[in-house]
Amino acid sequence: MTLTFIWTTVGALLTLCVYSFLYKDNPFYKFAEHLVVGVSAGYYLVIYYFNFIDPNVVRPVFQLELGGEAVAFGGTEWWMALIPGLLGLLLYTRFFPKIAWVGRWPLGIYVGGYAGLGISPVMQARVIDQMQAASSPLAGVPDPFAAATNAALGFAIFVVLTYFLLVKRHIVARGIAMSIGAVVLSAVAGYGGYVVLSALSAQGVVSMTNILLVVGLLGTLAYFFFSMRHAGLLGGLARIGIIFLMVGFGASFGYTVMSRISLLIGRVSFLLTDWLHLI
Amino acid sequence: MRRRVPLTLCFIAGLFMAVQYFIPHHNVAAAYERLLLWLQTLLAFAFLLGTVSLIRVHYHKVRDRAPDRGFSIVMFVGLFLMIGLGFFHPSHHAPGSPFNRMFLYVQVPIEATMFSLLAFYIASAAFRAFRARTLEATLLLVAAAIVMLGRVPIGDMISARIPEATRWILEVPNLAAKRGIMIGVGLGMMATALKIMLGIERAWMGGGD
Amino acid sequence: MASVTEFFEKFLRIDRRWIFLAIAIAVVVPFFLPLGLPVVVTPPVQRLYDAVEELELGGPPLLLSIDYTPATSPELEPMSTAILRHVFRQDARVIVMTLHPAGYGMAESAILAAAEEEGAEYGEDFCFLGFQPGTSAVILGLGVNISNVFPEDAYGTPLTEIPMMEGIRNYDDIPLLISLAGWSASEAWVYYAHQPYGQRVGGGVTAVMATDLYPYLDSGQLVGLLGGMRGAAEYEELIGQHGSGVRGMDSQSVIHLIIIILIILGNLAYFMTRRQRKLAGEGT
Repeated sequence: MTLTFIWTTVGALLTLCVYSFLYKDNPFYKFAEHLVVGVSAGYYLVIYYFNFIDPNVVRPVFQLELGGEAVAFGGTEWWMALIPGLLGLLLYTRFFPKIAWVGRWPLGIYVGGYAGLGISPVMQARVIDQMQAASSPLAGVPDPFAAATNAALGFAIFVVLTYFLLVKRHIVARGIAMSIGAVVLSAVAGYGGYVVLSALSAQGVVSMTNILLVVGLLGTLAYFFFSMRHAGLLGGLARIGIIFLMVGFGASFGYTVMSRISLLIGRVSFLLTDWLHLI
Repeated sequence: MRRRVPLTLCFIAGLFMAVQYFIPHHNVAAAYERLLLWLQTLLAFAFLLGTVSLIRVHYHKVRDRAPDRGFSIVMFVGLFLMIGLGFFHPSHHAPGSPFNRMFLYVQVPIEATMFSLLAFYIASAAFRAFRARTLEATLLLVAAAIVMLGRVPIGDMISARIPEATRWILEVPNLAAKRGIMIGVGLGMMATALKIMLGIERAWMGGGD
Repeated sequence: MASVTEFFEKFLRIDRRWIFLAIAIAVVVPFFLPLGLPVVVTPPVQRLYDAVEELELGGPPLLLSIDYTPATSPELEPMSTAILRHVFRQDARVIVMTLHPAGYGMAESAILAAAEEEGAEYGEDFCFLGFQPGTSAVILGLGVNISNVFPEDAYGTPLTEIPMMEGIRNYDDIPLLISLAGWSASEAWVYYAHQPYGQRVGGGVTAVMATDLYPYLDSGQLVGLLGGMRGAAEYEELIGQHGSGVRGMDSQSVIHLIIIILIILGNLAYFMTRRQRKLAGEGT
């Protein structure tokens, strides 16, 4: 019996301890649960210490060495390692109620620093670049005539699609079967339009896709705009937004199922292949 | 001292980090580099703070003879075993060391298995709660079903149209909706950051004066 | 009719452990009876593969940030293995690091296994810088100077003494960066490496996160994207060596089918019992 097999067996038994929870909560599961809390906290502590605190704080301050180079005692590098270290220690004043307020000083630097760092890149990444990506394809269509006709065709399909979904909505009240029919029909119409367009011209697909993207984006933004009552144009846009959001959430749900199943497959593969060598 | 100093420090640190992107001067760059390392150091110490809190919680459970204190002892055994192996074993955290094996054969299996439990619960929830009650729910359900089929090889086998439809869902309606959310959340993130810097949002200071 | 409704009512109240058992059987059986279904490659995966393919023999290295934790490793470990095999096979070089403390062990085991398999040499073909805390501060710091953030590698060797790090100062010397993560690390790389420094960033994420990142893919802020075990399977297909990604696809297919059937049955039972209840309500 090799050492690796013994360790793998430990891993397999712990895996089974966790799966025992599927039957019902029990001490084996609790044992594994508490063990992993302790082991992971210990692991993180050691990794934090040896990867960061030791080379960046402890060694420069006490052993006068940073990244293989000497640090002068009392020099700039020495102070620059000592000061954040001391500030970090101030965080621990929270365990002493009388001086706990001192801990807010380093926390202020930390919270403010990270908040400030984020503003510009997040604005650029999430807002400006996304707005640009949403608007540029509409402006960049090379053949104006093809673009115009295809865009009109695309828009017509879109209108039909939303008509089924929005105006005929009262059907829902009369029976879920008919609404499923409406959805399937509109999905077929939308997708059929997409197939027809892709056969006619690639440009048509691009135009229709871009229009859908812009309308969907505006609808989603309208849905999340709570400063005005959702009526009139805003209300209509918000309803379109819900449709896009639901399809988006559906895709997310499908992917979430996929994700969870993959994790299970990984564990089963560990038990059958790495531990039992059955496959 | 108790509120004004931390709020001022927060504002100065935030303002400096926010504007340094636009000031290409070597002194500013040097200060920025230093402050980045300071932030990292503070984060590292804050993490260790979490470990101290964990120890306190479980120590109290053991001291007060709580009914499930045995499990707290299990937690302590795991924690101190790892600390002992990581700091005092001659091979520390080198590959193949006992510390490394504890990670690979204790932490990895338990954590991965705990998350994989969700596979069972999501299947059960899909059966129990996923109902085409309204038009919106129906849309969600149909999209989810197409994507679930379209992203596995069996979907290709049934019809090449399924993966194509999946791609369309991902690249058109999903993209538009997620972009809307992305922009909205992005604006929210910036607003929160500004509120923190300006001292309007003070939850991080905790209670008391 | 009443008996049918009764049956469906009972069916809706079935002990969930029967569903658990069905799922367990469905995941195990394909391991013994593989279906061998082909995996078709999708554009986001192809784009990431092409970007790695562009890395030059012995040229500037790929920066691979293995940011996942054990919890999501079944989805992401096949990705790191496939990407590392690809890099080593074309004699390109790679710097590996992590933004998560648990990523330390995940990264180390992945890179040592791939290096041993492909005969890559430490310090020449790859190096492991270890973990640094502070996500955004780390990513921004790497844009200034890598050795500020990582004065030494994971094993205590100063970066100046590692041959492959010669002439590598910051993102200017890194043609491609890939982050593999089950949390928001991939987005952080977009914010803090792509936006301020124009760094090309590719991502590998859990399937849960993949749909949310499509806007970055469309805008070009991400050069390519691997989503979940399926993404890994496609990458394995591209490098021509099947691993746990492709192997898992059979079970994945079967369970997806079962879940869809469960959803349909659940809905059928729900509407049948509802109609019956309504009729009963009208009758009284």
